Amino acid sequence: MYSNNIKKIFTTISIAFLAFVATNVHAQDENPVKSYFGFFGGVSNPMGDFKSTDYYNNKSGFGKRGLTYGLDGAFYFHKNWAIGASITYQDNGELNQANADSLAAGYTNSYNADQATVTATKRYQTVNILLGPQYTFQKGKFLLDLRASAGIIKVFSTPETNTLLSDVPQQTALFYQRSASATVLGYSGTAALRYRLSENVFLTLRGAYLYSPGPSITNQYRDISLGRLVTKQPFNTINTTIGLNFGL
Amino acid sequence: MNKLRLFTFLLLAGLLMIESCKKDTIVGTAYTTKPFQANINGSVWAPDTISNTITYNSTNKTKTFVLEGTEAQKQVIMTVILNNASNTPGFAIGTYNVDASSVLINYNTQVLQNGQYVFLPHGTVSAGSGVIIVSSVDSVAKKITGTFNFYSRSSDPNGDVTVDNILGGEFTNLPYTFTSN
Repeated sequence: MYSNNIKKIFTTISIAFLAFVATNVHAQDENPVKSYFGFFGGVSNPMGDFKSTDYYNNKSGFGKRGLTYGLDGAFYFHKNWAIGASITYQDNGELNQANADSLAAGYTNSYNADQATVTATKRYQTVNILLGPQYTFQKGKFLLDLRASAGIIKVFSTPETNTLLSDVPQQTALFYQRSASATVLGYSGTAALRYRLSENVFLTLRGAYLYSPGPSITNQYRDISLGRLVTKQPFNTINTTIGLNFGL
Repeated sequence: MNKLRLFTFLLLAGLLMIESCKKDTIVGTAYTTKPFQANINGSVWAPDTISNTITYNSTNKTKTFVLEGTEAQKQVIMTVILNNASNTPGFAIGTYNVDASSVLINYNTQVLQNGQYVFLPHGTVSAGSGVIIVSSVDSVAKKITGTFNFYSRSSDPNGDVTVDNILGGEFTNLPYTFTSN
């Protein structure tokens, strides 16, 4: 599923790339690309382990499709080459009832408990600040921006759980998987298709793949560690957005 | 530009609407899937120490099913005696009401007595205060399935009565041993 999505994205980008290169060499010289800034909003889609809800995979993030929005801009320093930057807020949701039930069932089995109660609070909320080189192809009213970027991800929160087991003498205390708040590295690849609405205004469709090794996770009051134990939570998303850009 | 302003306004309004309704607390609960369990006074009780036997007595022509479980300082012993039974490894399915003679339930709790922990009757599971339902028996694989519930009444020297409720009991495909004497 994950590899299929990646293939689709790269196939789309490749087709668009070839179409622009094949038909638009001279046009670039006649109409230089302008620096721009803009805003966007859309959907953040978790991928891979971040999306997984497998209790037995310690990297499973139980991430959800959520809201993303932000600001984006690029400064062209040589023909179609630019330095692009973006600041993006994204929300990848919280544990739902099925997730909490699944974790409770997992801990019940792992600890051979009579009963487990998992209480989940908080959600994935991050702000990503990314910077990197960008190249732009243009044809008529369309421009295609390809960007590779890296930067920091400010993690404001991740889901927190506390678990209470029944009839496990070695683990009578309520134990916690704490919400994380940290600043970590992130990497991104972005493709944006801009349509010129007027001289300096563009409607932009944007797809951004984001990866981060993610924050470390603190576990507390766990007297014996059986079953699921999350110590680090990687992020893996594709954000699809629409927005407006304004030429400078 | 009016259309652009409208688009911008709608986009920001949409984002703000989605941003509301955020902080939820979700509680998930799961119970053991152990083959022998019950709910004692509201808490799950699933014994790890289990004895499950069916014994045929050729002299009396009786067949006795005894299921015993011990866990967390509580012990349940259920006994069903069939008269005029045949010498086969199965057991008759049916509803067996506690009658204090051929259908008995002992509910014991662990107490400290003379420096030692021993199981003593919590009180009395009297006739009519419980039921054992045997719903299926696989006499080849020697596995038995059923449900049970009962209550035990005890009183202290002051005459104060306490009742322990044992509800939702079940034994599912629980292996048993068959003995013919």
